[in-house]
Amino acid sequence: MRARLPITLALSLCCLSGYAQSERTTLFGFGRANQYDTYLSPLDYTGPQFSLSNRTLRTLARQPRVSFETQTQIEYSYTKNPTGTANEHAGAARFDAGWSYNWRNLAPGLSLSAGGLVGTDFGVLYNTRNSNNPAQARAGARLSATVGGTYRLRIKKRRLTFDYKASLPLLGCMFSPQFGQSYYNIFSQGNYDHNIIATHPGNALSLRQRLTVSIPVRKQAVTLGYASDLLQSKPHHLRQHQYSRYLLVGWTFLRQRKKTE
Amino acid sequence: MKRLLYLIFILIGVTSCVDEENLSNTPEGNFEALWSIIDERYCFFDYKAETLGLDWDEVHARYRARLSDGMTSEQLFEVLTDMLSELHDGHVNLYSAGNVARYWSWFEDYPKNWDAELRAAYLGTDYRLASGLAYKILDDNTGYVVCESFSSAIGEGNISEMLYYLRTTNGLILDVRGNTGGELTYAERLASHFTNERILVGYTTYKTGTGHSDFAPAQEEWLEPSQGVRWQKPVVVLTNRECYSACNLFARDIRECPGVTVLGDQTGGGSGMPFTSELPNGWAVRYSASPSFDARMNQIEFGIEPDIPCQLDSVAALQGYDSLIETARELLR
Repeated sequence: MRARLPITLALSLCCLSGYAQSERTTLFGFGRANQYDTYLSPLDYTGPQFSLSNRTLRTLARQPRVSFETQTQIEYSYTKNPTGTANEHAGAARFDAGWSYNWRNLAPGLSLSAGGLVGTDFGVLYNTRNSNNPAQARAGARLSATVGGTYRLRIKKRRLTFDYKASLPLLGCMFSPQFGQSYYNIFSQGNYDHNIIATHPGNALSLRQRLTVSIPVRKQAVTLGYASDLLQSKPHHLRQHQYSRYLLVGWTFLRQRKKTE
Repeated sequence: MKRLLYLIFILIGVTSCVDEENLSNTPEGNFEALWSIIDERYCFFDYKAETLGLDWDEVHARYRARLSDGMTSEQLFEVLTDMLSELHDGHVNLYSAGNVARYWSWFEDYPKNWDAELRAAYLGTDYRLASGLAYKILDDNTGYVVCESFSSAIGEGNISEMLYYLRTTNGLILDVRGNTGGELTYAERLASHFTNERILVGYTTYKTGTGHSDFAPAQEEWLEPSQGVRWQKPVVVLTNRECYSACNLFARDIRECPGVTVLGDQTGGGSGMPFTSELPNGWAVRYSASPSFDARMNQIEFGIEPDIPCQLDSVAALQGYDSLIETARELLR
């Protein structure tokens, strides 16, 4: 199996157009966010967060155990400090793509998967009160390990699909100013000082999780769920986290199986 | 399967480790938060230990003794204000909803050396105005420009149009007295019209860690010549103690330009770019985070001395003469 997996993944690159089955899930999320970045403030800001995400999942015709996935998410949060005297706006866009190997029907209705994602994100955290340190840019790329599970359960005549996915960034890079470096110094004066740093679980231990249940409605499905994004980093003596917990609601489009070649 | 679930739960537990420090919204909590913010992030400890004998640990002990559990918010503000005043820094402020703690001795303790009515008399009512720059040609064919602030936008076009209008004058008086700063970009932009070559004007650095001496290697700061109209005649820049922050750096930059003489009083200083942070009770604090130096790596936190010291003559002022402007006119003849 070990020897065959890279070959399988390589083959899957060549035959993406010949997928056997695909689904696209669009979800609107609303919940709470904690924003903490000591470049801007030593306090934890909390407030509502909204997100819109799109996930496509394709199972390959030649290798039905391999699936290709893309995830795109945009999000916005409006948070306040504990006394409500200052606020922060945060916006971000994330994109991930990768493959998973699936172990199907390990038990009746149960499948497990493991794989990897390559992703990138861009965003900004803006504090409306600060002077020469009003904002912190977010930019990074990462390679993440993923694990997941799917459980299909029939209740009366409906076949519900429970889906769980977790991704753990293992290696990547991110942008960060030095501890007391201004953006004026970086961009107006052009002083680069190790502002792109390597990330790994030792300095940016993060975890993204999502649990959804899809309820078939005719040929499509209504999807409900819960997501938790625990994003952290410690670049250049700064401390940052974004903890987001939000409910998801949306729909899943199931596409018909295509004939391949 | 069980192992996988255990792994997931362990990961969930471990990832909650980059958390905020435990800062309590009490007089003691706010005091410690403020002291720590300054302790870790303020950029002039070594310099002020050398010039003022500042010992930040001793300051902690002295002001910590003034705290009490039942003290009011107003009393806490007073203690914190007094503690921050030990830094002798105009870029250090504490903002509550009803007050701003400030250190303004850098200009309040010195002669003002300019008079708004006198300046208005020199400008008259027919002066031209390009963004924040007021200018006219005086009756001895001297160009006179007043730049009161770098807070409002000053564009390349504004400066070029102004200098083109003044091109036939014998020389230029650039009056920045009372200019307490604003945007560095506008200060650099104005200075860039007074050199034909790229000039080393100073150095800057910033903190790379929480220690008092944790700084990046000093980086050179260069003044690039403008692509617009560049002034080729003599210039006298008038300064006083109110020239602060971005205006202090303007004085640093322009005195390196050829044909420029700085006349008046020492500038007020303020060479640390201020950052903002906050306390658990929501009060904002501003502090100097990133210091700049002159071209010879001297500190300019307490100001820049003029090439020609000159004080406003109060007797001449009563007769309608600004002795700094008149001395500058003599120099340009």
